[in-house]
Amino acid sequence: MRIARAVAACLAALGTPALASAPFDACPNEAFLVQDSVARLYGVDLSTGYYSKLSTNMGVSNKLNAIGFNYHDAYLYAWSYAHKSLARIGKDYQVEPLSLSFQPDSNYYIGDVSVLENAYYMYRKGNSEAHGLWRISLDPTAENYLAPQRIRAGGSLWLNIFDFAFHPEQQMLYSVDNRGRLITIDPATGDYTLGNNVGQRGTFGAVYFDVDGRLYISRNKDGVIFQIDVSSENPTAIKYAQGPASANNDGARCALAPVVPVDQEAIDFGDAPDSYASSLDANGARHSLEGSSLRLGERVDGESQAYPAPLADDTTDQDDEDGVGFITELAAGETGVVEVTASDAGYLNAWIDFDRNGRFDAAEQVANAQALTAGSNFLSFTVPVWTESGASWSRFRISSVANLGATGGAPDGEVEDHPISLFNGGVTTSHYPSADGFVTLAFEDLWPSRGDYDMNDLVLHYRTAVSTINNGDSEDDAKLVGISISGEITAVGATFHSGFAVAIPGLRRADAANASVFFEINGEPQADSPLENSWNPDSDVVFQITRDVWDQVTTAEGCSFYRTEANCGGSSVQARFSLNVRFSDTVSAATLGDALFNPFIFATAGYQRNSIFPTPPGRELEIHLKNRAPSIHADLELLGRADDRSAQEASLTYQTAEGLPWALEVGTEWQHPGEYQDLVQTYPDFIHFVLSGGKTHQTWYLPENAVQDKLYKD
Amino acid sequence: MNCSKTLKTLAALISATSLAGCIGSPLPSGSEAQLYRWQQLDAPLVARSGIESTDYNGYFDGDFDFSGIAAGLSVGQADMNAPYLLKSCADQACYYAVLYPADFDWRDDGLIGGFAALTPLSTAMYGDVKDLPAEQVRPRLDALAAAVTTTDGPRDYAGFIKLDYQRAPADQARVARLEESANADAAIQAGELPSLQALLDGAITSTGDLQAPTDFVFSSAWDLAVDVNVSGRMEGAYLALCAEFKATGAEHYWVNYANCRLKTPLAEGSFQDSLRMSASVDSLLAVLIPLANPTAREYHLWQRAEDGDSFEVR
Repeated sequence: MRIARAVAACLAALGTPALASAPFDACPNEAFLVQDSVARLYGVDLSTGYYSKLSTNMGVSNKLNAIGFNYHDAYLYAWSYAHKSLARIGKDYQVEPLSLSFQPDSNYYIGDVSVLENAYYMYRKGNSEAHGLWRISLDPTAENYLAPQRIRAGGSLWLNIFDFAFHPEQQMLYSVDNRGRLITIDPATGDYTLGNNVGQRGTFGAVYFDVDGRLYISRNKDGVIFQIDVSSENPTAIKYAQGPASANNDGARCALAPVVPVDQEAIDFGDAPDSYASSLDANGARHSLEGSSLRLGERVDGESQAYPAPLADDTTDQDDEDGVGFITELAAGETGVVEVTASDAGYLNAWIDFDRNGRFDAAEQVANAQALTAGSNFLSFTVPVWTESGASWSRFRISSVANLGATGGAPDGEVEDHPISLFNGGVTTSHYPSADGFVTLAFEDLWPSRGDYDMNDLVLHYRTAVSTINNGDSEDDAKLVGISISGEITAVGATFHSGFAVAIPGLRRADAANASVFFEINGEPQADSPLENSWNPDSDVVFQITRDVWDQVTTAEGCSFYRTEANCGGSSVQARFSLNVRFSDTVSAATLGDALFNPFIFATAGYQRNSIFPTPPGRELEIHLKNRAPSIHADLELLGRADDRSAQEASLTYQTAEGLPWALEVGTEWQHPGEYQDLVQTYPDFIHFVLSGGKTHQTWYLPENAVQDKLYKD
Repeated sequence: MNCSKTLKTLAALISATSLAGCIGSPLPSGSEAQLYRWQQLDAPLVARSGIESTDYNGYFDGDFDFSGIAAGLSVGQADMNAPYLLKSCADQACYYAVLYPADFDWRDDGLIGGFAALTPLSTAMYGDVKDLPAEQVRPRLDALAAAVTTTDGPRDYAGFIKLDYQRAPADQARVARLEESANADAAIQAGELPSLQALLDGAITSTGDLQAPTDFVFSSAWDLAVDVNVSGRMEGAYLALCAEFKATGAEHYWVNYANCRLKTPLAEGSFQDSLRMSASVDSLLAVLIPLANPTAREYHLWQRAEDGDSFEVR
């Protein structure tokens, strides 16, 4: 940034002249707002509109106006009504009047300091000698230092504006008049041009620029801050944030500073994908956390920037989406009920993307300035009949500001974005183990040879959901609407290459022929369908999540495995998957197997396996949970080899002669053993669980029952 | 001598016409053994004294011959699969074995054929099941037998109870898990019931040492029967069955509706289903919401420890 460097050099060259107060430390991100008949100074975070008082005693008993920030010496300059002169303000916020070579006989309420020259400009319309556009040099080395120079008489520059601001890279002044017209003024001549109407009227008493050349205008009557991209062909005012309202308003800021959160951890952003506007660049929904303690639920996390899905931090950091609960599923034509928990009284605005077009449209607003009381509140609405079935997003905003849009900043409150599922009719959804919980699947990959029982060759967190609709009289009348499978790969302690797949017992391949399949890994839609083909339309459906888990994870430097050796993995999980299948055909749900389905691993084609296989066995080698059936793609000739004692005709599969398995389902998000740590050594209660036939020690897998130094730990 | 054994080394020596129903015993000859119905230890059905034998170097010394007891007993068909307890004591040392008539050969001539052995392990197994109701005894014994025997031969209780591993090397090889059964014998001599669990704990040092029934799938998952019926008192109701909640006051809860097990409209006010549950879920909150008036919701708490495997809301 060439200008910024020049400014820094200039500041350094100035040294430390004898001043009554010290300059500001740097080019501040916040905007300055001076208000009231006895001047008070506020700091405004333009990104949210949050403002705080910087000083209620600036050492004057009258107004200040026409304020501007001078990056050449890092002081604020303003017109002091008390002194009827230009004044300088340092970081102690005290007003120091300056001695002008002569004092024009007027007061000025429009002013700013040029970026490209060390000079202050002020303006007031009118026909007197004191009115017009003025320049005052602030360069102590200049001959005309502090000598007001009228550039243009007020009678020939008649503008209904209330502040202006210098563009950071152009020597031009910008403002918006009370009719909403964009105005550009050449400070060298006072010539001006009228641009198009930006779409907002009013008294815009505070006008600012940011370093990217975007203009911000604050409307006095309601405090709304609009953003205008003056470089566009048709500059338009976009509602950006909610700032303070005032009858007397003037603003200044360092135009070389970007508009970013003033406090790096004091803004709450939305988490929805950026098509919904979540990032600051997209004028995303955001709330200052400094304004008040008004919140949705109990938790909130301050951020310096947004992390729109799939980067949302709720899975890797604190999940702060705890104020909104969807009590019902959202089905077209049905009543939707949401519980909203507020920390205090406020207003709720909420949207649901019913048509799944990636935006929150006006017709999709389900709460419009709805008053909330502290505690539990209920929101009921009718889900539109034009709702599109599938995955979508919702946004809930609480604030003391009643009317917030789906985008833009707010000076207080919180935004919560929730992923949701939309359905075409009233559905029953059954989750296993629960909608937000996981069980763990742990595999040994040496099959058909006995494993080493550290149960970490592949470890996944895993959950399922089945949605059905039943308009009949009996359970057998239930029709399948959707199936969801999601999870995350938490460890790969294997040298072999294995894929992961899930068969759906009782769901025929033919039934899925016309299903819509939505498959994401780490939030990114996958082009290839996970639905495996089958020569037998009556065979169970198989979804292949990944052909090789090593394609999804990477070991740390110097490590052989992923998250099974000490210091070999990191704290975050690298691979998350989500599979959603929607059925348009009439498919009976009566024949579906249990909620776990039939997850399994298989040998990745082209990779060598156990020494008992002279050539890579490929996809046909499957390893399932004990007594789960091989899929139609499995080579049944492999059953019974080496240590396997499967007796498929008796439904006894994937077990050793001792009845031991190659895979386990563990009832929670499991802390798996470290590499080569035997399961029994790591979780001694597993012995009793097995010897009791599962009747005792059913929670053998809980961390408090583990030998801690045998667990894998980040 | 009228007892015979399953010992392969001795089988050829035993007369094919020998009577059976013999119970091997480590007790000295002359000891008395009593047979009881399950959990009716106050009144033995019959009793026998341990025999004295000079055959085979005294191999059968102390064994009990029950081959002829059928004549004096009324054993109906239902009794054939019911557990019986055999007990024999010398001083304070008592040995036990749980026996099932169906595991023996009820011959046409009125005698009983077959074998069993009173051993420290059979005594420890009794200690494990002694407080169970009769119908739960056999599954548990089968599981324990699978845990202590090897794959060479039957691994259920019927196979185990015939093993005389203290005197027969081949049987000892089959009881591969518990070579330290001498510890159990020491406990018995001290007048205690040995802990099979402690024996197993000491014998199992790796997962590969475990043995499990072929139908045991190592999952803690179980099924919850949900039965909700509020017809007549709540119109247009909706059910959310949620796993994450906390009480925030009398009859009020905070509920994480993003972490529910089930959400469903109630058709005519009712819902019935069986839900697979993870063992880590020990409580659920059913929230019943009249859609026309959500504030009139009801909460119903289910806790597995108190309510078991069913959840009924009326």
